[in-house]
Amino acid sequence: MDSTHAETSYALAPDVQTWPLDTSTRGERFLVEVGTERRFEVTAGVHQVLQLLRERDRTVGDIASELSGRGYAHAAPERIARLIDKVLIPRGMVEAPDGREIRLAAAGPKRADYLRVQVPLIRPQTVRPLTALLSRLFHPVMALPLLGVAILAQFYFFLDVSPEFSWQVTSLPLLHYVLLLLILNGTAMLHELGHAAACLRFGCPHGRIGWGIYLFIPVLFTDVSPAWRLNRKQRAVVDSGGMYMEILVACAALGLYHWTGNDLYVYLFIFLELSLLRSLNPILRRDGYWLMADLSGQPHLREASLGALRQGVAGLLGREVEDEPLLRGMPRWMRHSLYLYTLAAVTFTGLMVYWVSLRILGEVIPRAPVLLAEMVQGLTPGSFDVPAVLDASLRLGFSLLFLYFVLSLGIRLVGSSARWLTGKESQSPEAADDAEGREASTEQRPASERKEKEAA
Amino acid sequence: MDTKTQNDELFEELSVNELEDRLELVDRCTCRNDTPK
Repeated sequence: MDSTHAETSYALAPDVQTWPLDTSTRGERFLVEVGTERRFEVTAGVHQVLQLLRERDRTVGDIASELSGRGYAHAAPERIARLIDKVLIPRGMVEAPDGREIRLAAAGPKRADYLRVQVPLIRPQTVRPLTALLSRLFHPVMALPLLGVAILAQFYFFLDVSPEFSWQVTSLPLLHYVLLLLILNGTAMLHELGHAAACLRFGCPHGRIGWGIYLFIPVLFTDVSPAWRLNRKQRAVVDSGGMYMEILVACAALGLYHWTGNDLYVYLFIFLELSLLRSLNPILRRDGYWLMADLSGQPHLREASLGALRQGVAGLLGREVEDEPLLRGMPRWMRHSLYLYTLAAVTFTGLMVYWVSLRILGEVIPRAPVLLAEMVQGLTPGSFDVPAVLDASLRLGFSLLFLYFVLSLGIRLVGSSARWLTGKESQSPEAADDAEGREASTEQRPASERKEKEAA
Repeated sequence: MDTKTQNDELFEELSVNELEDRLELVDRCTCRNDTPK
């Protein structure tokens, strides 16, 4: 078997690109892009294997001796063969020898499954002229003065406007209320364009803009996955790009208030500032999450946090605690910060579950029969009332959708919690070897569980 | 060399992790309770 392995030659897949990956993990890491859809973090050893395969077809024996010569202690031909066969080929990085059919599905579904519904709205090339224009706002010559103005606007609001302002949003005229909703939703799209524009600022292409459901929350999203190519500071700018756009709109609103004295602009400013605070939440997968992942240099923040949780739970249950793969190369400060983050995430998740349960038990379920009765009443001959029926059916529809998303999330969470507590994500040759015989499901298992893990 | 050290070294030499797609999300609250009557 060893001689067969040593003589087998392999070639790199044609659509593979590699880049340095900026992380805080011990040891160099590289980004491997397979086509435009899938991205992997690999260690320097794996990167060396890919580079050797890029030069020309190589046998496993060649690669093993090259790596051994470069000081890799674990580069035995069997291990390299296992790495290529069990990890690199199923992920599309290396072509199978002799044109063997590869079942790429074995590498698992794409990892963006934290959005349960994804509806593409705008193709990248459609908004390219607009994002190219907006990307100029990210040049330091523009950005620094604008951020200075934003800071002054905060002082102006808290020192001059806020003390005089009385909060009466419920008595806003209907037209102003509608305008406020329209502008706020418009700025949500501008927020997304901001991420895309920041990506372009660093010469990185951006993906589609779309609509989706995150947990049970409707969201807009921009795919900026190519930003993995950027360094950590640049990625942090991409993460902040949306909030930057909202800050600019908030400043403009305050300026308009200064000139016109119309309270509508103050409400707009306040709602945008509140939106910024919500965006900074690092537990849910909002801008704050990516900012924390990029600034700390931990690209798998969610997975690493779940690893820490698994370790903690295993310890509490008195099981033998094995070091989680993602925690192995982690500096000590990062590991301690991760424990704190995990504690915060568990607390937040608990509070969120409590809040959602209150909403369901206290509002959604008791109100459903009332809304149903209103619908029936509105449809009764003699008291036929189309607006009332529409209103009741819309409210009932939204309530049921909310219930559906929460319940399906809860059922999956309960069904898989036992499995993910023992799951492993990283793929080294040894881990892949453990999975021999069930290769097709090696990554499908964690990937299918990822949605449920989102709740944690 | 113990197994743990060997595993750690192996992990640092030869490991692959899939990176998440970076989808930047934003949502808007509807301010339901503030709806004017």
